[in-house]
Amino acid sequence: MSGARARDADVAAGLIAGEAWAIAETWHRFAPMVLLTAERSLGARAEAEDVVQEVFYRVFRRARTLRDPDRLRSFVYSFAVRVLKAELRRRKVRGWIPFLKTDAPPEVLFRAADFESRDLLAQLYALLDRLTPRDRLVFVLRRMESLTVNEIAATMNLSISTVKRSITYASARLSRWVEADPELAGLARGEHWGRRP
Amino acid sequence: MISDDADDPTDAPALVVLTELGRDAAEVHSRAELDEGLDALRALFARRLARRCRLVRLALVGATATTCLLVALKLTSVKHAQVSEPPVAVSRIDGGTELEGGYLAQSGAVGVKVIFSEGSTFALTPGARGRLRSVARDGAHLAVEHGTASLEITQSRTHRWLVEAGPFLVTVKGTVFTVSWDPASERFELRLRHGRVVVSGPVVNGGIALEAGQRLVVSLPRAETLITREPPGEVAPAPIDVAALAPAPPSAAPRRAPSTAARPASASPAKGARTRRWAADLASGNWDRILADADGDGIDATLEHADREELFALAAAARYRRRTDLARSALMAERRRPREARSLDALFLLGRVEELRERGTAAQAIAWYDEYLNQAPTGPYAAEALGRKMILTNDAAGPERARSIAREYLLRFPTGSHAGAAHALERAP
Repeated sequence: MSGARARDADVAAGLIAGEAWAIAETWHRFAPMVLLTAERSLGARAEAEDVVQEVFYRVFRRARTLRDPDRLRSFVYSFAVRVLKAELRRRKVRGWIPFLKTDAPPEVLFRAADFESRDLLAQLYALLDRLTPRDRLVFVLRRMESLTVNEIAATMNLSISTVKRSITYASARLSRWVEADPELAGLARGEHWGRRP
Repeated sequence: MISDDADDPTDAPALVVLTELGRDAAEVHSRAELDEGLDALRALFARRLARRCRLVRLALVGATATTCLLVALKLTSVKHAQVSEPPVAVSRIDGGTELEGGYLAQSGAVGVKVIFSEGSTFALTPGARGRLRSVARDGAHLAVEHGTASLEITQSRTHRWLVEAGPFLVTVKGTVFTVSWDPASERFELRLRHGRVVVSGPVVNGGIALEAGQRLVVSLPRAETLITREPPGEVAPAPIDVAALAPAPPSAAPRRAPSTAARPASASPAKGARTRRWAADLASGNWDRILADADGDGIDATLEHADREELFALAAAARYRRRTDLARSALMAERRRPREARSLDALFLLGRVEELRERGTAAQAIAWYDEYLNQAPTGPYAAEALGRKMILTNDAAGPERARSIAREYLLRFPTGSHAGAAHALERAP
């Protein structure tokens, strides 16, 4: 069977059977999506790549637990969210424990076009680090990945009201922090040119 | 994109700009980068598979090593038990021989000593009577029926030694001690030189643990238990009845024809079990259980079918519970059994029971003692029988008649327990 023409269900069936083409096809079909989500959630490309490796390692090992082959995408995405949440928790714990804390500045998406954009991104991820892993992930999925509340609730195994509360809380806090910073607040007035056209 | 959420909160304008910047900053990976990622993923699989294999191998090796270790330990312990714990067996008997039933017959005047294969010894002082109830690979069951015995039991983790002395049972590990039982005065004594023993039986309330240097004396008639401490090294067995040196004569002919209804103990396994149970009950002071068994089975049936050991046990239990008529009946039933060395004991015990019976007479008791002295002039109860005869004669006929018995007593048993009374009678006007 050709991976390029295969439906998600066929790929899932091949994956469950342990066929090599299905493994490669799953990777090429879903890894870009997971990489983007991971980069946006973590703000660091290298860390995102490590997370994606872990996500697909788990997907391939647990493929037999996939009950509905048509839902392969959701299956992969749910693993991605779980691993990302675990990674964010790990980072939070490392921040609390002095001897695990690193003095090196966090790697940020250095593919940003200019220094000013990189600087703004660094400030954004510094603010996101102040949120809980769940609020942060909900905010990223809602604002950057543009998932609906229902999709976030299903993917993260949360209730809709919890997702809404989480978004409201994250939005309010981040807005307050951004407006309290004169440099960041100036973004709204177009005082920074680093934003991409 | 967010139209399905009408109540979505509104972010600050600057935050909107920042989130858009973050979303746009992430770039899709190229095909080459994805291929590299897939290769890295395959390498990750290989590494983790190898690690899992190592863990499984390690677990298998660990399990195998643990199993081998356990097997080795088991084998070592079994081998150790087999090698370092030699089986118990009679190696030789000095100064006597073993008769039927395990009774030890003394051939000289220095007592008899049993030496066991693993080094333990069981020595009867001159005049004492004991038997080897059973000797098995893992221990021995010995009995002191009269007099004093010295024991040196080799320390062992697995061997179990039991020593019966009258109604008392001494449980032994590695130890050195002397034990005495005088059935006439119903006095038990144990002197412990080394080690530790547990004595169970009547009066001792379920068991007394003794330690080195302690001495236990129990008097059944007075229901007294006395534990004293002795200086180490001063434990020396005191022989009793030193005059009883010669071997016992063969049993006399029965006075009455043995009952044909009497059956040997080995005829029925259930009876054998009862014999063992009654012996244990007697040793542990459960006299009422023996009597209840006999009452339950019917006294006549019990007396008809019980074997010799059971009759002696029943007689002792009845005597301790002052059911003297039953004790007498049991001993009389024993007299109807085929004669053995122990049958003579019944004669002496009948005299004791006659003294205790409400309807008993001194004349009848003296007759039993005379019968015993005639048939077993050097028997284990000879001193006591002559002493009791002397006391009863004095009570019934006065010192004049008793004096000749006292002289005979002092001649035969100068250090006997009635020597004081005999001297007093000699001096009496």
